[in-house]
Amino acid sequence: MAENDVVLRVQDLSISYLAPRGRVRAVSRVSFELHKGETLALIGESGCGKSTLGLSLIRLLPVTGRIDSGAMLYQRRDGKIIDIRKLNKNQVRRFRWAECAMVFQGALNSLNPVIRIRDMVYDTARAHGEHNPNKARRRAMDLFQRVRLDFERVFNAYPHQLSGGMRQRVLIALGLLLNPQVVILDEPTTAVDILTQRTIIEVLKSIKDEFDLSIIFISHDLSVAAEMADTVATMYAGEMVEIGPVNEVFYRPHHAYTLGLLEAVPRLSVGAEELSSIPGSPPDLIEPPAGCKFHERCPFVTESCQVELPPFVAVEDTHRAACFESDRVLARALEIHDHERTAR
Amino acid sequence: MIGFQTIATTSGLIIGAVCGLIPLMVGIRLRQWKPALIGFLACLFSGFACGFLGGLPMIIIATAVVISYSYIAKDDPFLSRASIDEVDFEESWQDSILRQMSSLGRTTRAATRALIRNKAGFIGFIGVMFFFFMTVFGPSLIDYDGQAHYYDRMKPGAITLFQGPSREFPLGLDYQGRDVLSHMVHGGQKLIITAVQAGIFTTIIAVILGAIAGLIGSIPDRLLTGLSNFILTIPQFPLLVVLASIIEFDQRIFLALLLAVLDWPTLMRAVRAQVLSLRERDYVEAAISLDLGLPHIIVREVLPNMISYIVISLIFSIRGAVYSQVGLVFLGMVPFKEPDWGVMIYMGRQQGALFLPEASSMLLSPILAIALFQLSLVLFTRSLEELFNPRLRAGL
Amino acid sequence: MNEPLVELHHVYRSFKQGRTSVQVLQDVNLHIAPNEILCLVGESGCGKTTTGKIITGLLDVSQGTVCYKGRPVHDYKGREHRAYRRALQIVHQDPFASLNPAHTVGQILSFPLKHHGMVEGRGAVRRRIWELLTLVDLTPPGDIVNKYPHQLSGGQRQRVSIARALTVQPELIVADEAVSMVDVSIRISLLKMLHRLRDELQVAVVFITHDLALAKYFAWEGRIAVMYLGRIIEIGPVPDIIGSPAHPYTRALISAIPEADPEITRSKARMQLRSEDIPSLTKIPTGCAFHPRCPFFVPGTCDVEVPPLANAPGFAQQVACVPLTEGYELRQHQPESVLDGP
Repeated sequence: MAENDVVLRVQDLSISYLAPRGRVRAVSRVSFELHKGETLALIGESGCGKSTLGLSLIRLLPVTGRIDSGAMLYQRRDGKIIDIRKLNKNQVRRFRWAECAMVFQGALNSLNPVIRIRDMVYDTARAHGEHNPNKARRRAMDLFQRVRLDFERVFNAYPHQLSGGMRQRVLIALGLLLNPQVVILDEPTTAVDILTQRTIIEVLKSIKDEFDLSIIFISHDLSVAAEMADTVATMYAGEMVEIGPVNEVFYRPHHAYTLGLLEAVPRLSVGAEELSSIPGSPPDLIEPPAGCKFHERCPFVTESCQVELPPFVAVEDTHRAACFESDRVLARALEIHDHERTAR
Repeated sequence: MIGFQTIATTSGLIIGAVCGLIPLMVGIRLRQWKPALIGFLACLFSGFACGFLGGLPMIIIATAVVISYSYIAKDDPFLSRASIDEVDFEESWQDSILRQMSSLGRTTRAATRALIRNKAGFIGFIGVMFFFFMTVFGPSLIDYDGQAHYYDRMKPGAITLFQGPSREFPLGLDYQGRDVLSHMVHGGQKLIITAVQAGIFTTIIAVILGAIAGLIGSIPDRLLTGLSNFILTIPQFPLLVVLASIIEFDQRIFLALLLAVLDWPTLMRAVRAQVLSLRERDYVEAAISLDLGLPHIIVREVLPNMISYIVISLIFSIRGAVYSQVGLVFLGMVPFKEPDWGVMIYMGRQQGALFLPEASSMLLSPILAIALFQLSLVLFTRSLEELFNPRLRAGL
Repeated sequence: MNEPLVELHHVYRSFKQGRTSVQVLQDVNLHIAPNEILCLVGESGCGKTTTGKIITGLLDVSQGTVCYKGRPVHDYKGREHRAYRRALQIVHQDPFASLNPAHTVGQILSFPLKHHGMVEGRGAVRRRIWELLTLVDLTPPGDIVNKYPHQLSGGQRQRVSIARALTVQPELIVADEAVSMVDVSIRISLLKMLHRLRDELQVAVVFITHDLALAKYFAWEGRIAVMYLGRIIEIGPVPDIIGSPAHPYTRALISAIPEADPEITRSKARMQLRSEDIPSLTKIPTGCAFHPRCPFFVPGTCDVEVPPLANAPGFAQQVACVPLTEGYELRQHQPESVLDGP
């Protein structure tokens, strides 16, 4: 790998599932890079493939899932480069949690009700190579403090004795237990209330700074991405359609889907708003349409969109998008912004 | 003429043929040759089996299937893209009948497909059909070998009248030298019919009581749950034995009723639990809000979601009833009249069949038959699960 | 002045949990005018869903009165009672559970139409189903009417739910988190459709949600009631509450919400609360239920008596906060945040 601070490089990754009707192309030819200390937000709606992508990074795809092609390369702290796809069982075990950890979607509601938090800590540590319980406990103490949890109260408790927000923070602490370089969070703020969500966001922001972590943040919530991410990527129907620095993607989007999402999210600080939905629904991933997968719902569609797949190319420095009409999209986005600015 | 008396008689055949003419003619008119032929054969067969009782319903079903092959929803207003003023929503009664028949036909075809799709279920179905035909048709085909003792069949040098399987008697002879095969064919009828009756009674009682307890709650619920708990705490089989020895059974249907009275609590509690859970569903709450009334909620909102469970429980009740009956006969509690599988087991044991190798057929045949029947029932439930799943219904 | 459609007077509601009694609603007072939009906003456990169900008559009150068109609900008997029931409908949150999986869309819509004799004759029923499906933007109706719920997407199912509510020509619809489980890009079209229905059919809408930004968008011309632990703590026109929130809890909510605009959201001032623990409903704090967490807490005032909803000088909305209603300026007493205490 060329640059020294690229921690994770995904090239041309394609993943499919076997369903009764056929093969579902859950992820198609996704490529991106994650740098040290960077927070990448993967934004998309249900069925876009973001969770599948996250699971594949730690080799946790279900039995029916299969990585069809592509590469996932990871650079360890000592500089050695690992091909995640080629790891054997033992190596995967050591890779998981110690190098790359994941906090799963809805996990705060799936904790085993008969296991205390401290046993979770010990079990996790032991399963991934740390056999000294005292070390694990000290590390947990440190981490719990950083996620603003009262160690004495939480460490010996059962999950049902903690609130939803506290459980989510326990899971984040568990993810950091073995000091990984990369943490993947799948919808960490979705199932919780507003004030709890705020606490979790603040906790994540402080951890990000303190530990120099690289974070992949999977969500459908654009607002949280705006708050936390350095880089934002939008996914649609299994493809990554746009990726770029957060200010670029939000203020100068180049893909029609990104623009559509931005226009569909209400904002508190603006007065009365003009919002619009994206008409239609996502395409069938077993027999996807020809050309750009978004063309059936796109207001900027042209003939070439219907036949040719737009290439994922750089539109600005580190900003890439897969759209033939990105100029028109950008123009419209700037138009909306000016309109808003004068309205304020 | 009407019912089972016409089995395997020419009059049954004639009735079947006459009934079969209707789907045949409709099919020929609609140019659906294969369905017409299948419809004709189906009617022929049901008439042959049950006279008019079988033939008449089959006319409707067979004709419906035939129609469904050729029916195209021509002027269905919902499928046109015209504006609302251009569309004619009224439907003549002829069109209405056609539409409903074709819908019935499609359902029948989907049901058949569901039956065949699951391999285990299909095997079970074949097994159940086999026993059904054996008990229904068998007695007409094989005479009952009922005489007292067949000394003339005894082999030279043998001590008892028992004989193992041979070419002349495929299942051997019993302790009186009678043909085991003929006893098998004739002896299943009472057992299976009583078991089916018991299953139906159990299901009816349990569903009604369970629905009342679940939907109305409070006092009726507490009374019924208490009653069911009471019956459940009593050991069922000993109670059955005691009651059977006291009560005189002039007709087997009372035995079925007795079995049902002791069997309903288990199913009722399960039905009640299902109803309680379905009652909290959002769509039931919506039905309450829309003021659709309690009968509608029970029959059209709750029951369709429970029907698969109910039918499967019916099958399991039948299973239990078979075992209870055999147990009763085995203990000599029920006045038995031969031929009967339970009696065969009882008499075989009494006559020392356990110790004689040549008598094994007399014991094994009914035991195997009962076991296979139960197995077929259980496997058949797999097909039923597929049949009742609405998610598969739409895959037409 | 229009007579209100539904009124709640001093409504209390409790549930039995084992041996203890949980007070879910305390002293809730509301009135909803015909054709009005009202949002009920709050976090989980605040009682908004219970209030919605009481409004539609699906739940009874433990104490207090519910009035429909000026008369207490219990006065309605027989046919009038059934008309009252039909006038208030609910649309549920979960698109997967709100429709009976055993029926097609056509059947689901035909049941209320036939049962109440809303239209006569099979042809008229089919015509009405066509109209309703078009009204909720499910076109062409032919693609939908013979489908089972599991063949439809979440957004389509919610539209069918709304169409079903419309079959009985209600005067008020309660939408209980009706768009929370639907994709982000579809939510706006559902809300726009609800708006249109309200304008065309003169239906009042009570919109229950925990998402303040969505509430703001939907109810810009209406009112918002913010609920906390079973009480309404602030109520008033939406632009006022969002623009200048009064109650500390409302302020905390507004400051906590992230926005889809990096510059705005990263420079927003965040309010710190004294404690992050949400009290359980079995042990509601004395006086103002928010006082253990309130950064403007005034000892001796806030923990003594339950503050009534009243007007506060300088604010257009009503608020349940004693220092505000007495005209004081709120001052932060404990600015530093505290770890989760026992």
